[in-house]
Order: sequence, then structure tokens, then C-alpha cells
Amino acid sequence: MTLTRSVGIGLLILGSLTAASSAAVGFAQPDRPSPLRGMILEPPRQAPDLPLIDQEGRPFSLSRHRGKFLLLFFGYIFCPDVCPTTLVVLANARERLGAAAKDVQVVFISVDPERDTPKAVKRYVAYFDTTFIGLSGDPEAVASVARAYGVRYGKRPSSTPDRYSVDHTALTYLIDRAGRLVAAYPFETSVDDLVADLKFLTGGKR
Amino acid sequence: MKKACLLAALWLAPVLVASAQGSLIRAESAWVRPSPMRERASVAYMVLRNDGDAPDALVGAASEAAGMVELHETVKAGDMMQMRPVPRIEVPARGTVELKPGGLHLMLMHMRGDLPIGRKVRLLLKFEKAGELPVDVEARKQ
Repeated sequence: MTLTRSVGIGLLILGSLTAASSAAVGFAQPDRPSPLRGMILEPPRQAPDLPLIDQEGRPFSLSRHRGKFLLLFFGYIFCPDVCPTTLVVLANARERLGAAAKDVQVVFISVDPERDTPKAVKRYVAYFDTTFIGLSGDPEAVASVARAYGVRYGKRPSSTPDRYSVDHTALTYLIDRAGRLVAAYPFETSVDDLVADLKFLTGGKR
Repeated sequence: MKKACLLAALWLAPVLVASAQGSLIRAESAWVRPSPMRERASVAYMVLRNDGDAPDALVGAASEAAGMVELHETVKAGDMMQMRPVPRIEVPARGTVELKPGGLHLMLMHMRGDLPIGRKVRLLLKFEKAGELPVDVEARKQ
């Protein structure tokens, strides 16, 4: 894999990405030159499985996507601000990648099992990019996946019971072709930074 | 295409509203997120400019497109993104406040229907001093 970095690569880390505290998962701003602009997980580890249901109602299998880079974002459909902002960035990044976009699969994972059915998730993700995969599942399955990724979320009650919002961590996780969790991107990462990393990675040897 | 969208958003001639107490408010670069499904909430962003000598505050909003519009703020608490209703959004004298992704915004709930890209909706902004300001916003992706 191309993730072995050496000081000699000569690419600079941008200080622009704020280091979201993510000690639970072990992501950090690299303390030595890295070809990636995102927060890296060192050493990379096998990405936890995602035993959830896709937007067509089928069980999802992470291992079936080996050979591609996966970008995972945990959110919820009713989320008006953070989730669409992030998903638009991911869609724009894929668009900018051109032909290399076929090697990048975006996966949205709902942390609102009460409201987000596969059918709703299907309409939701297709609105951003028809290639996006959207996963949902029962509360236990979602909780277990979130725990494995260090994602936290919780309902925030609102004036009307069915209109609650969900607090959630908002990192986008990057899984490499070998199924390893290698990097994470905080909310408001720019399209430029994502594209730079994805170009670097997809251009690398398999 | 994107540039065209951006330009399309800029044509919005800002309307303004003034108060006897000296605030002079206009809304600029306003846009709303399309909502592909009724069950989803939408959100409106804009820059509020006050050319008057007295501060004012946005204290409420309504829209024909939504049953309920609330003033919200996305805040980062540790590594959690939270969304909280706020009672008012201050617009300083001779200054601006920006409602933008990841920060202050208007949340549109109980959508009356789908809000496709390109659809224009009217928002009615209520200011503490200046009163009501109608703003026409277009639904676009970003």
C-alpha cells in the first residue's frame, strides 16, 4: 500500500484541519510529514464490519467493497445543517476526481434508527449522489457499529416529539482498498483537501 | 453549472427594512437547501446586514414552505456536533452576522412539500426593532 510514508515524500501537512478530539479511535494529526491532509490512524487497523441494511433492504458487506476506498459518514436524514453540508462535500469531491471516482465509495450510516428506514435512506442519499450507499439498522446494530468506530450520538428532544435532532460526532472515515481504517476528516474539511488525499491514494499502486 | 447557480443566487435584490430606532436591516446572499422529501428538514442561510446606528436582532422567522421555522445554531461540544435553538440572533449596528453551514441557521420543519432545486420560497424574518422583512430565497445544493 501507498500509505507507508517517508520524510522524503516532501509533501506538507496542512495545518488547516482542526484536530477534532477523537482519542477514542486514535486518529491524530500526524507529527511527521505525511502525504495525507486528513487525520491519520497509525498504525491503520482493520475497519470494523458494518452489519447493517443498505438502501435496497439488503444486508451490507464491507468485505465486498475491498479494492475500493470507502468514505463513511454517520448522520441522520432530519439533520438540516451538518449532514447535508458534509454529503455535498463528499459528492463534490467524487465529481472532481473524474475517472478515479469509480474507486471511491461513499457510505452514509444513519444514527437515527427510529426514523430512518432503508426506503427513506434510499431517497436521501440518491439526492446527493446516485452512487452513494446508505445504511440503516435496528437500534442495537447501529449502536454497536457506532461504538466500534468511536462514533457517539444521542437524541436531543425538541418542541415536537417527532422533530428531535440528534447530536453526533461528525468525522468522515476513510477505509483503504485493503479494508483498513486509515484516516478521518473533521466536519468542514474542504473539497480540496479531500480530493488531494483521494487523488494521492487512488493514484497509488494497488 | 455551479457558477451559474452561484450567479443565480446573487441576483436576489436585497430588500431592506428600517426601524424608527435606527436599525436598517437587509438580507444578502440568502439560500435554502433543497429538501428531496417532506420528512426532511430544510435550512436557510444568509448574511444579515445592519446599516443603521442601532443594533437589532432576528427574533423569529416563518415561511410558506414550512409549518415551523426556528432559529438554530450548530455548536461543537467536544467532538459532538449539536444543534440548539437560539432565541435571537444579534445584528450589530453597522455590522453583519452570517448564517452559514456549521453555524447559525434557520431550520425549516414540517415541510409542506418537497423543495426541489430551483424552487423559490419566501421567508418572513422578524426583527426586534425593524419588524418584518420578506426575503425570497432559492433552493440550491450549496
